[in-house]
Amino acid sequence: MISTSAAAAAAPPMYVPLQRRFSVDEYEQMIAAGVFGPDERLELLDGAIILMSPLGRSHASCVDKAVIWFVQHMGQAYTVRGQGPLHLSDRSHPQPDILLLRRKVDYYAHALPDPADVLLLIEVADLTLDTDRRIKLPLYAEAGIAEVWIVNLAADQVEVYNAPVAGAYNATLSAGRGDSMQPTLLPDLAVGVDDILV
Amino acid sequence: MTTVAEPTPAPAPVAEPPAPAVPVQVPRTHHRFTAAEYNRLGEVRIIGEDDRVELIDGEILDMCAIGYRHAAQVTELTTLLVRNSVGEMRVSVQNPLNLGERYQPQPDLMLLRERTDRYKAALPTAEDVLLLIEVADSSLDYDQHTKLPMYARAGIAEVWIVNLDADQVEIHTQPQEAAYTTTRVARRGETVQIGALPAVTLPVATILL
Repeated sequence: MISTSAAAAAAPPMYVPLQRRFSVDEYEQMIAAGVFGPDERLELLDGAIILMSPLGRSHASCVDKAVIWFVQHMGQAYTVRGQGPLHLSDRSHPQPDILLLRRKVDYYAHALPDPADVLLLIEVADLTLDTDRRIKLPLYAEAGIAEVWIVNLAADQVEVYNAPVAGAYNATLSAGRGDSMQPTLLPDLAVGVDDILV
Repeated sequence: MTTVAEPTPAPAPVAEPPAPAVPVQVPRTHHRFTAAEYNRLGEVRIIGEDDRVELIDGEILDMCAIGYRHAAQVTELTTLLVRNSVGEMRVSVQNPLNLGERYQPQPDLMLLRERTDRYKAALPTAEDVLLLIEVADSSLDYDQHTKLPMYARAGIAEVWIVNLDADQVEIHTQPQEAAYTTTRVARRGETVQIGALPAVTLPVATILL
């Protein structure tokens, strides 16, 4: 007869079902097979298929302003991608708000950009600030994205993250109106916070 | 390190990002699959024939691996049901059950009523199920608190949870909304009957291994 305490100690862990995770290949097959409705805005984050939140006015206007500024100030060697897919890893396929990419002749028609192509990644955040920091940022660091900016609309600031090491950004700082930022991989580019924030 | 033509003000260095200033944060939600989307994944072989997954409330969940004890109990119950079923009833083992747009579980066993197509044309639905059995060891909590209410809401007439650790059969009948209003716990030495097979009396000692 097993004593109660020994039985409790020997009890196997309770089963909690895990969501099936999908690879990027499977996710792309699903898109091609028409599994999802045409109006769904989705991202694949670490194997989970996540709904992107609908774009509010302030979010959309900030993205527009930033895209226009970058297109005007960056040379021919670069491409600005707004809310388009990035092949982050074999389990993540996000659609960051803005990507500054090395320019390719085919504009990435034959292969999605990957982390090595990314000079700067920008997420504009209002209601998703917390999940952008907690969920997307570690995935970006893990994949080796050199620099991420999170535009914190509510606080009227830009959070700058760089030096990714082992799944986290070692260097972070906040910039407010009147400040200027130089992306690590584009040190000659001075981006004013006021050039991005509406 | 680099010389800059014009001096620019340095950004204010802060050790940690500032605390969020917004009162409400919206969590990112997972895409919830419909049964049609889920079945399409099967058609394009993203979910394989041998994948053990279920669709529960729009989420595709991995089922736990089958241990030998669980497997033996399912085999025993299958044999019992096949021997005791009458007419054109069918016994379905670890196959999908269509419970509507966002639910397609794979119960361990189902005793299904007669259907002229013998279930060739479509999956069984709740009305087809005479008895549903889940064998539970590590999944007991999940079976009792997630699956049982789901089966009750669908109106499945009778559900047994064979509780391996407690060595008992939990019999649930009379579904009302999200719960079964009649529950009986049967142990070795007692007998039970299946609602759809009133002529059969089964000793619990023959059900449990």
